[in-house]
Amino acid sequence: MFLVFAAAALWLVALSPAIAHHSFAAEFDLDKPITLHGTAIKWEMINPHSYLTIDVKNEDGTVTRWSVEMGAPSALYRNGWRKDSVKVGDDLTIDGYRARDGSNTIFGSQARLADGTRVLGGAPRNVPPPQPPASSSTDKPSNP
Amino acid sequence: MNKRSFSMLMMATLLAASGSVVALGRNAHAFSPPKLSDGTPDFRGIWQAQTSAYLNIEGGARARKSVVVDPPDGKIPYLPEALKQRAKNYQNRATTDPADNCFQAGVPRTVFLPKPFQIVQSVGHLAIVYTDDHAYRMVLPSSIPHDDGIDFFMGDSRGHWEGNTLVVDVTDLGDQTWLDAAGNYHSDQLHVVERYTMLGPDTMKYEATMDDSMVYARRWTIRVLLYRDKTPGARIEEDECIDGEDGVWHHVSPTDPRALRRHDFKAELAQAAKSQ
Amino acid sequence: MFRRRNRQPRPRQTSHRIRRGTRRVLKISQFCRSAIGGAILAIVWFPAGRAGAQAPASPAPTVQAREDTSSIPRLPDGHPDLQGLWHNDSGYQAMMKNMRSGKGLAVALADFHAEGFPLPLPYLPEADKVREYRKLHDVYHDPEGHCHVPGVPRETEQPSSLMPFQIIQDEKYVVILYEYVHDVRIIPEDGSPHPKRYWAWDGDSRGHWEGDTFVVDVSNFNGRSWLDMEGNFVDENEHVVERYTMTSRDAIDYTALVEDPTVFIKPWTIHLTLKRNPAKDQIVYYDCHEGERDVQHYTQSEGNKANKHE
Repeated sequence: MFLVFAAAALWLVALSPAIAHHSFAAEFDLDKPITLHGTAIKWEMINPHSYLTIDVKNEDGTVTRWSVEMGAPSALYRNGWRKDSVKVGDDLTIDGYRARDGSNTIFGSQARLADGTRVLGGAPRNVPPPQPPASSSTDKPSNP
Repeated sequence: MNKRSFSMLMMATLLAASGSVVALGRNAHAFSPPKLSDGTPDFRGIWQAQTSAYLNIEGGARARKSVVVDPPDGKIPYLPEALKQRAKNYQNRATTDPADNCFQAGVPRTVFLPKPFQIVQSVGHLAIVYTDDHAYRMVLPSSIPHDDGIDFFMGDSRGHWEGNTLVVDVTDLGDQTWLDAAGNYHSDQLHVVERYTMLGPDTMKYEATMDDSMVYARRWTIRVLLYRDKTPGARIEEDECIDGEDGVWHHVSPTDPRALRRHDFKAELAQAAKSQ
Repeated sequence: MFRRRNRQPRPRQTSHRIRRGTRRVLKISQFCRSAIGGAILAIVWFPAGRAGAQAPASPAPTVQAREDTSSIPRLPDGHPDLQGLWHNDSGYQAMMKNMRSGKGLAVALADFHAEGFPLPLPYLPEADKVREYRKLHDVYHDPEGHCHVPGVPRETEQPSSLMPFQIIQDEKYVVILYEYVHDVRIIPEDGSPHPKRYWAWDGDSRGHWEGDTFVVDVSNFNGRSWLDMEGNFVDENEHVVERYTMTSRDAIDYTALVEDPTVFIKPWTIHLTLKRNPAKDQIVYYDCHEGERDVQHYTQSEGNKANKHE
């Protein structure tokens, strides 16, 4: 149970700077979760939010380009992400929430590479989990 | 004065004189700055360049001098293809200069902008705070590796002292900044080594060596003088930008009365009623 | 980051000795050795060479009774050494509490005020109507969405503050460098007054010590800052008095007394605990304006008239 909290804490630490700059609820609809399977076209690890652009093949064979907004580079960096963490052509599955304005934009809460590595919402497998901000009485860093 | 004191005085004078001569011979411009309590040179204060390099590092029109000291011809040693890109940048500079859009100006451009910056320094800590876009740089010790794999507009800085010179190694600058307003530019491979040396109590020599094999045929170096701002009450003013109706971002000075927005709750609520 | 642990106040060197051609032996401080660990290169940040006469030690300052005061590091002038990387731990606790309460992601993410933020704020009636309007219909105009610096005390109290900030004390100034939108406050300690014709997002800060508490008086606001994304706001008459008191080596007790006679019936106080970040953590620059793409997606009902969507 503790590990669930710790993992959630890490996820929120990664997430919270993403919502700091603007109102998350104003832009994204938490009642509209979505999962996309697509191919990475562009990975921009930039401020204030990183963006993953992916091409998703629709059932009718057409392709739709989606923009996946993700956390601030500082949060991602502290979770082990780098500029080259996602390469053009990587196949990904992304869970997220749709933008309210109907555009092909989502906020990505979790991304998985085709090889099964969890790349957001937790550290990549080969990187030990980061420490959350300095000790509080209720939260301890999770073990690698 | 008796004979003994006199000869001691002569000896002391000769020694002092020879010491000075030796010192001059070693480096005629050596200035020993005041020190912090740990012996580190004290560079604290507000500094500013007074050069037109921010317009064009190479000088450009109106007989402005190039601040490039190496190569000696004062020209940035671009690779042939890169020279074409520079020409394109120059042509489009009215609309594509990133700093015009209130983006941070990067390194070394921010250093020689015509706006003051402040060196904040204590034992074990050094930061440089610029007026422009309230950019700042934490200069961490060289023993801490660079944060690679991520780019910052103001780069990632690591410093150490060589005698009385502060040497700052800057990487991870990305490729979104220019070097001046004339379209001189770099790739994300840019590596800058800066050297800050006080020449006198109120003057500092700033040199920056640029290394970028994607854009330049070889390393090159600029030199600019920085001057201490001794005006009483001198400060780094806040610098924010507002997007204008034309879609262009404008710097707003906190001393401009237009920066002040006086509240008008009645008007705001009337506006609210109208749009409901 | 580079403080010495168990630091004794060092006698202050008052004379500037000119050293010609002295070769300094590089010394690795005990703290850095433990903080960075393992085999490290010579740290040239700590040149040794304190040979020579030392000025006599200054008299010990008055220390107020406080928990664990023996662990509070001090500068040579006797003041607490606040230097290092800090974050708003009260905000962090609030976030964790929301997550555990199962309130749902929307509330957990939105409702971020620390317990020490005294909601509801004591608005004057007309100002309260403005707050309501901004919250329901005009969040597009929250200046933070447009990458402005958050103002005081928002930059310390709000979720953005979960990004750390660095404090440097360089004798004439206390400087706070925030990771969030590289906001900076340079706080002079020379007793000089607030300027007259100066209106800023972060206002104008003047600091002084009262015993072991660093007190910052902030005025000269430009009236454009909000306090959060829920419509809470201040206007150009805001005045804040912050108090930073180290309670132990890794904790600062922070209060901000906020008054604004054209917005609030009476002054109110924020109370937070700031905690030191792990030694290896550093500022990882967070820009905003350079890559901002979000507010274009706000809909008209949120105040974005330019968006054709509702």
